Amino acid sequence: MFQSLISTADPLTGSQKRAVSLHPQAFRGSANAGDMTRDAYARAMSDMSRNTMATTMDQYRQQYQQRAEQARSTDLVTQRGINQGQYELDRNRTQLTRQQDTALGQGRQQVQQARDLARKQAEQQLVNDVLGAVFGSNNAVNAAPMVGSALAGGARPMAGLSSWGGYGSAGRGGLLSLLMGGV
Amino acid sequence: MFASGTFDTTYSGPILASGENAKRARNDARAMAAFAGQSRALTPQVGGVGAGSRMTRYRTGLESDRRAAEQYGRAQQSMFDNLASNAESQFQYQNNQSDELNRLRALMLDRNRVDQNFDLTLRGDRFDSELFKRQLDAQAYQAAKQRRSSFLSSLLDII
Repeated sequence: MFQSLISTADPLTGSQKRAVSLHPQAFRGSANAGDMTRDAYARAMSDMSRNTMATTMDQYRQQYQQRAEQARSTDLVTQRGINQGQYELDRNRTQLTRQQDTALGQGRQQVQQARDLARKQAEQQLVNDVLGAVFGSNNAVNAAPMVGSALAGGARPMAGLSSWGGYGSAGRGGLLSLLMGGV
Repeated sequence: MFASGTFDTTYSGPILASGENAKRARNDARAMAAFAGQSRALTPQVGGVGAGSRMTRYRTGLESDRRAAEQYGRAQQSMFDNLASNAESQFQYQNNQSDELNRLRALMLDRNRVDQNFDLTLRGDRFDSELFKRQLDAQAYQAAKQRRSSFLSSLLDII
C-alpha cells in the first residue's frame, strides 16, 4: 500500500566497483631473480590498493544503506500519518452525516406531529361546537383544550369519549347522558 | 516552473557532476602514474663515475613502483569520489522528492479537511432551512385551522 521513492540498494554497480578496483601493476619484471622480486613488490602494491578501494566502497555502501533505510522509514511513517488523517476525515464525515440525517428525520416527524395535532384539535373543536349547538351545552366548547391534551398524550379521538361521562353526570347534557337514557 | 495551483513536484532529477571532467581527471592521474613509474628517472647510470650499485638500482625500482602505485591509487580514488558523489546526488534527489511528496500529501489532506468542513456545514444549514420552512408551514396550517374553528364556533353560536 505504501511505497517509497528511496532506494536502499547498493549505490555502486558491479562494473563501477570493478572499475574503481582496477589498479594496474606498475612493473612487470622479466625472468631473472632480481626483477621477480620487484615484480612481487609491484603486485603487492596493486593488491593493497585494490583491497583498500574495495574496503572503502564497502564502508560507503554500508553507511549509505543505513541512511537510505532510515530515510525510507521516515518517508513511510509520514505517509502512514497522512493516511491516518484521511481516515479520521472519513470517519468524521460518516458520523456527522448520520447525525445530520437523524436530526433532520426527527425534526420532520416533530413538525408532522404538530400538524396532525392541529388538525385533530380543530376537528375535535368542531365536534364539540356541533354537539354544544345541538344539545345546548356551551361548556362543550371548553372541552377542546382537554381534547388537545389528550391528543398530545397519544389518545385516539373517539376512544376518548368514554372518559367524558363526567359531562353527562354533571347534569349539563352530553352525548353519553343521551345514550344512557338522559338525565 | 510549476503552476502554483497544482500539486506537482518540482525536482527535476538528481543533479550529477559532469562525467567528462571526472573521466579526464582520472585519465590524467593514470598518465601521471605511468610517468611516476618510470624508473629511468631515478636509476643511476649503469657505467662511469655516476654508476650505481645493483642495490641502488633495485631500490630505485621499488621507489618508482611505489610512486606509480600511489598515483594509480589517486586516480581510482578520484573515480570513486565521483561515483560516490553521484550516488549522494541520487540519494538527495530521492529524499527531497519524497519529502516534497509528503508535504503535498499533507496539503491535499488539509484541502480535503477544508472542503469537508464546508460541505458538512452547508449540508447542516440546508437541513436547518428545510426544517424551519416546514415549521413555518405547520404554524400557518395550525393558524388556518384555528381560524376555521373560530369561524365555525361563531357561526354555530349564531345559529
